[in-house]
Amino acid sequence: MSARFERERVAVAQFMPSNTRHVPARGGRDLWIFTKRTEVGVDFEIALYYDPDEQGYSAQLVSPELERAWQNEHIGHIFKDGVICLGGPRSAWRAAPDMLEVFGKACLWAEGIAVMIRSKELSRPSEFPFSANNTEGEVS
Amino acid sequence: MTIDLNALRDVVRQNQTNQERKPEEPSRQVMVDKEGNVRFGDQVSRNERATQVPQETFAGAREGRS
Repeated sequence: MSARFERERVAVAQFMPSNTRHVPARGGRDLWIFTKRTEVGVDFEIALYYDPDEQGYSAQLVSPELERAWQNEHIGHIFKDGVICLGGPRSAWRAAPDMLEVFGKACLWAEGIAVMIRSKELSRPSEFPFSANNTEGEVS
Repeated sequence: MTIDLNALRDVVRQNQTNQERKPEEPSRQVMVDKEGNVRFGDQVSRNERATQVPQETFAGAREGRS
């Protein structure tokens, strides 16, 4: 096992949900997949992994599938390949050095998208609530 | 444990507007506990394991929006 894997294993055991599971490397990436239950009852499955190309950790949505119009760095803060946009400087949108900070951002992102999902179900579309860049009425 | 999502929205946006990445005041800290629940810093006990969420989250940088 690599030193990185060992650091990740300890971080997962100490700070991430008990449902987190390790999926052995595919394409050189160890995946840590967890289920996040949001306040409004929408469950998300999210994978964290170290991306050597980005030299940092990324969070990628596994499920559920999102509205196509939301798969956008600004509207839904997610890239078309499912990688959650982390914000900050453009160079850090896809990855950040600290795995646990990415975990935290992914959980907050899930709460925001869950609000959009529930609002859509109620025919009262909501913008992503946790960004000062999103404004009322931009989602139909 | 539940969190007031409207209060969370207000705190997150205010922190972003103030460009406070990791506020020191517990009531303005956004934390994620071990089970992935989002909470304010003053809802987390000292001996509890939790991760502080940096507040540049989802705010665009000067060179572009996110």
